[in-house]
Amino acid sequence: MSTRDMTVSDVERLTSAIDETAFTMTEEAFRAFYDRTARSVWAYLVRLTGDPAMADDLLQDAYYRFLRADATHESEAHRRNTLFKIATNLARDAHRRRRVMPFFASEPVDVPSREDAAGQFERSTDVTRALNALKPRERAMLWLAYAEGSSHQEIAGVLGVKTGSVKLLLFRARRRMAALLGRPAKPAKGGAQ
Amino acid sequence: MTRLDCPHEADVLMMVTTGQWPDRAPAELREHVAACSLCADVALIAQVIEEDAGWVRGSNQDATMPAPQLPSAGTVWWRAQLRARQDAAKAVGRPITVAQGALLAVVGGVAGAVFGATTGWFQSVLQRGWGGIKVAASTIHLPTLPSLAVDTTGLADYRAGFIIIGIGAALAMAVVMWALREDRT
Repeated sequence: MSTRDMTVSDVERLTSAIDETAFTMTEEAFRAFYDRTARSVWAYLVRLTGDPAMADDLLQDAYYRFLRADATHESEAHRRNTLFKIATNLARDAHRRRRVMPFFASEPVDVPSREDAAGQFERSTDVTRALNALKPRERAMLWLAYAEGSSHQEIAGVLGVKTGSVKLLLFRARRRMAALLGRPAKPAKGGAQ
Repeated sequence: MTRLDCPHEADVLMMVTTGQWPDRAPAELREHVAACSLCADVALIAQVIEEDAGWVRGSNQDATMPAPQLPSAGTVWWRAQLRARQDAAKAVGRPITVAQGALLAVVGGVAGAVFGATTGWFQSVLQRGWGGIKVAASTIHLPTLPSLAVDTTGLADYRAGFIIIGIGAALAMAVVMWALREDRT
């Protein structure tokens, strides 16, 4: 429909629809929230997708969807969890759309080059390799637990699993990652195997 | 049964997240971790992931690590506003597109009917086609449902009609789908 074909009622409808798109969150509140969360969400997306460029796109999309959701949040933590849930779903959808590229890239991603920090880079490369070898859910779970400090309940909410299952899933993910990092898996002390 | 957690896990995690692990951690806790594989896993994984997270975010203390260049909050807000307006404009245009599609289908149907009713050669072609379809349809044997005590023998006369109606409905749906496709310019 070109603008020339628009009737007065079309223009009225369009105007009212545009007015309705104003987000519940104010720009000031959004800026503050973005500044507090963007780096964490971006890092999460980088590790989830294995692709910094894709993380850039998904970051923008995640905030847009967050704003469009117009949900009311009980607390900052709740708001943050909603954002991480959106980011997780976007990464999952992106993975489904682009099956040619593994969700967790098989090769470590060169997240900004840091020539002067060779030791750090090597360590990070090892971690990246280990993370890439995990299942997407395991990767997300470990990241949320240890990079974001999320509780079991929050992890369950973000990943859409039962809270009761998080302990076991986290245990398995830790075991796998520890083995991938070169620490042989030992039986847990204090219980029968 | 495998033990899934240890009461000292939280202490280990706290030491790691506050940067006190392992040097500034209490000796008892270090001894415990050396003996407890659960806490050893927590200490190892929490340490490497936290370090990696700081590295990816660019928030580590190491000044040689540049922070990733993320768009500013203002840019993200502005883009979100723009996209919301575009989505709204699309949503407003959608009912009009549906109406246009339906109108197109009706006009196409009426034009076809008028053309069919007024064109001699088309009618003869249609008759030949109709005859062919009747012949083809007579070769189709619809399965009978033994459990139903309904006399379906009379339906055989309408078989060709059903096929025509089916093809017509499919064509009409195709026309509507074409008219409604999102990328139409």
